Amino acid sequence: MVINSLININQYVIAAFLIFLVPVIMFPLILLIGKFSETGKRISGILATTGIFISFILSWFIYSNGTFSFNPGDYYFNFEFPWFGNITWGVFVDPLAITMALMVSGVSFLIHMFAIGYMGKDPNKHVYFAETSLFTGGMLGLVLSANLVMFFLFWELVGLCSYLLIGFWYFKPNAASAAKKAFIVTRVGDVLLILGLAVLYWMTFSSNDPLSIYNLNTQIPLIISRMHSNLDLAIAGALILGGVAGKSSQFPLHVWIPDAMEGPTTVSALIHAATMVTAGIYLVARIYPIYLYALPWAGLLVLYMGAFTAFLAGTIGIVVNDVKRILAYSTISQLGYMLAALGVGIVLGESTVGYSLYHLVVHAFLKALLFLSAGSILFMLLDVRDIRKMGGLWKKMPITISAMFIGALTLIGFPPLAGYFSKDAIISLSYYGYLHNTALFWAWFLLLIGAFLTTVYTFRMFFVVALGKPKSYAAENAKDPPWVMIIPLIVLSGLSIIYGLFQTDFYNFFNGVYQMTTMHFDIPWYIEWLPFILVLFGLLVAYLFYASYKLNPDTVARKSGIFYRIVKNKYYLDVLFTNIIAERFMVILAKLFYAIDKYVVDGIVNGVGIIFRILSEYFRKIQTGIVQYYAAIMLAGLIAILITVFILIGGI
Amino acid sequence: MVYYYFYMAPIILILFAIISMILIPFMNKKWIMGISSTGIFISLLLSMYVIITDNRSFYTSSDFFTISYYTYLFFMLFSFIGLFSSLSLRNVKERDVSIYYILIPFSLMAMYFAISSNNLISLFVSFEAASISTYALAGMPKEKRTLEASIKYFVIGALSSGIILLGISYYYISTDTFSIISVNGVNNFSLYILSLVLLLVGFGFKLSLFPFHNWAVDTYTGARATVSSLLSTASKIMALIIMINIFFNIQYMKTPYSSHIHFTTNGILYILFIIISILTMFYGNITALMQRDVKRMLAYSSIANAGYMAMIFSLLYYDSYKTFIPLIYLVIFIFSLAYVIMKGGSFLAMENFEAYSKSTTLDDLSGLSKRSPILAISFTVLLFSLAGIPPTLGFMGKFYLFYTLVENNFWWLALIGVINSAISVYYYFRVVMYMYWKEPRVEIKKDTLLEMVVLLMAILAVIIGILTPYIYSIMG
Repeated sequence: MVINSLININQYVIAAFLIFLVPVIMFPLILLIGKFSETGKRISGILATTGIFISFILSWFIYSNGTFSFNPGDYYFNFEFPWFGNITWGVFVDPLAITMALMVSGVSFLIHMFAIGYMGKDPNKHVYFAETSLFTGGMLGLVLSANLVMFFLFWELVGLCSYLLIGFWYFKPNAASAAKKAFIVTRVGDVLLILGLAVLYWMTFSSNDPLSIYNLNTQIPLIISRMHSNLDLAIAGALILGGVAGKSSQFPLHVWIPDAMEGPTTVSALIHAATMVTAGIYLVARIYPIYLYALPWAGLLVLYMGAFTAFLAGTIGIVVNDVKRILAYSTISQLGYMLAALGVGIVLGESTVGYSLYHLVVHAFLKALLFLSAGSILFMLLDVRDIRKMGGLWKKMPITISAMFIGALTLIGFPPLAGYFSKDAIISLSYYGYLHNTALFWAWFLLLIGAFLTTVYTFRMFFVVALGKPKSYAAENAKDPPWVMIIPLIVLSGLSIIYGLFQTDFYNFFNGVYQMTTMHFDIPWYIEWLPFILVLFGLLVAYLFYASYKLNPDTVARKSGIFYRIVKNKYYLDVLFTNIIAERFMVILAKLFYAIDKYVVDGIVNGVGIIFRILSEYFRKIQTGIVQYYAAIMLAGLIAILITVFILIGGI
Repeated sequence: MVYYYFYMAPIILILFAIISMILIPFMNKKWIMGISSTGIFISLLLSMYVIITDNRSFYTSSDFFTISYYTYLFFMLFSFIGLFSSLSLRNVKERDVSIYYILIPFSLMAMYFAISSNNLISLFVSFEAASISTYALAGMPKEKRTLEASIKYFVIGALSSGIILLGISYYYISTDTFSIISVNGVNNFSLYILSLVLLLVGFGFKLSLFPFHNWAVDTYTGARATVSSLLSTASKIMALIIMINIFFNIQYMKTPYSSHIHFTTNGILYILFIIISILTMFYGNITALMQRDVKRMLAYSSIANAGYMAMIFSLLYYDSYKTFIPLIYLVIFIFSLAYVIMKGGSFLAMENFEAYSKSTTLDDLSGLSKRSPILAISFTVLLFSLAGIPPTLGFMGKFYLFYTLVENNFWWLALIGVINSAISVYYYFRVVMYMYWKEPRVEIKKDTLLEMVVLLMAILAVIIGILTPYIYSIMG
């Protein structure tokens, strides 16, 4: 077991623990002071923001002194102390973890700051800030865990907080049911995840520190060569992928995330940009050697789950009218890109993790930006979410819509912005992978079409929201929100614009883990520029349909008939899950189990209970209160024991 | 030698406290209380220091006593509960209470010598010293109820002393020595096994194992709760450690009589202990189900806990049982630590009711959350711990005990323990239900000091519970 004694604690270890402990401790603190004082309620937002900021500073402290200097030359530090049996508890920090920690704390900080304005008038805002603080703390703990069991605990904490926050306005029936749906759907994934962890544990429990992330990253080849086939590993990987599908909302478990838009917009921003959905991507990246050494179908499953989701969510995004749901489908689609980039790694090696993570960070910036600008719009428009009731907002709230414009351009991957460097790199990567292995062709194709779809739905939303004439009273009277909400928008816009500059640096910092240099793609120039051409084409399509109204989208919808209906109904997945599986199949099963429970289980339990009660009444009578009886019972006991002994030894 | 004297400091200090209290009779009550509590507190700190410095090579032995790391491990528990028991004596309305302040440190000292004895003579003397001082404590203050408790305890105690003496004499006849740890051959197998059975019965009375348990219910219920907290924890753990010292050091021997099945000394004892522990657990838990008096329920649950503790003797099954001693000390230490904190804390919570309303039924506790939220939440935590709900210390104690059993192929015995644990949840949670979901019926007066003590116990039960795996790994 890797047990560091307490002497090994240095300032980095303490900082790493504090990164997630500070926001977690903020949770009871804010709840208490908010409950007992009105001032406490007022400063709850500032407290939460400060807590996250401390986490950010600490992450930066570890990053900037980033030699990770337990042992010179190592790119990680690992501190564990024993917990249950051979399971440990601690922090594992490497470039992957610290990148995530920086992203999570930084973006969360900006979102919290925005929320000070956004949630300012809510009577329960101390509850909100306590919960988001715990949410962020849970995510930071997940990122820094040294052990998959600890990881799983924080994973569940994040799930719980998302449930609480999506249902924060619990008096809205939609919000309550959306929270329930999010919780149940991710639970399905979590069952698969826990099965995957069980398989992994079964494979590694003979090693002295099973399920520790350090071991999983270094000793997988050793474990395979020692006893197990890579089939077991592939099964474990596939099961864990089920958990990823739940958390990171990949097909077919993506159905919860559009409904989760019922929560406050800042919660959506947190879930989509920083704290929740990236956890699944991070998990795959964290235990990447499993997919690398497993049978190739596990990796292909990762790839095609990602690529297919990227395509599927893109198509639905085009027909949705709720501004937040469009962004939700866009998140699902972009997460698909990240997962696909990880999947390509089975062909190209583990340095593709860097590509995936770069897109993850860029996506965090742009998605936080888009959600916060959408949040400003909703804040000023009194929660009108239908884009058909907006329109002409660029003139009314110029800063917000400009920020949204930058976010939209970044999302579609327009050249000088960060999205271009992150997303087109993934598409090129998949083509490069196809050159090595023809099985990757359709992944590249789906991702390519996904880029086109991204452009269409993003700019459909943008054109309808920003251009034209205001289509409602609220839209006519909109104006820019207060400064506390503007500053995060500006910061995030800046990051979205300039972050592309750091592409090579990011890959290099990242690939230090694997001691690999950045790849050079040896692919034809027209393939490299194909995504950009499709983006331009998509912009043209969106302009023709939604800005100039030269073409009428309704005509197209009517002509395409059945296809439109399928997409409009989200491929009938909700119908399948709710109406068929839940209401037809599960209800019958539930009735059956209820009958068993009521007549068999309850019967046994109650029967046993009655027997115990009768026994209890009977035993009480031994306790007469008369001391002579006690002595007699004692001596009788002695004699009984002696008789037993004599029977046992068989004579005297 | 100075080194050894330093390690003797805790017990020397407590001895000084006793002597000074006896020699200065004109002191007033406050001084006596101060000296008693301070003496116990400092010796608690010193024994903690001995443990934390973790000098396991420290070991001194004579013909009568073996004093080692483990002695202080358990003495720490005794003085821990002794301290709080002594602190909460201040509620007792009695003209001359100072004698009880002397008796508590005296019984602690006797317990210390009892668990460190390696010779039946010194063991008997110190065991009796501990017993007699607790007989007197049980009769405090002079009321009909407490006197009855004390007399019952005394009568059964006298009987069991007789049995122990008989066992000791058979032991001497069969082995030619009084020593527990160095027996050079046994000349009469029947007498030897008979003496061990008599010792089992005699000390099993103190541990309140099944057929010898009746006194415990009446005594724990009748005595003052603060005394019960000492009786049901320290005195019981003392008996358990004595039994571990005796039975894990017995001479390994095959029965000379039976030709086809060869039972051994330890083989016979392990069967006895398993039967007794199963009966004790079931008896304690099932009888507690229908109790409406919370204090009596706690008394029955302490009998059930004695059953859990006795399960550890199933390890006698292995012929190499002597090698288990360090593991057993460790597991029993964690279990006893949990037991002391939660059972002692629960009885001290009862003291809060005893002192003012004289009655501790469920009705007295109902609606406690509205009258005294701190006491209610602390008592709830302690009850959760007794029921063995995960983050608490009670869970950890049971976990390591059952884990040890499972690791040594007694999974079925551990299963019986788990079933019993499940039964016990019913009566513990009923109390919680009464405290939180029923309306208050009786007024109680608040005692802030006691509330704080119970709160401290609850906090310890959670914090140490979380840290237990770490403690286990550094001590194991």
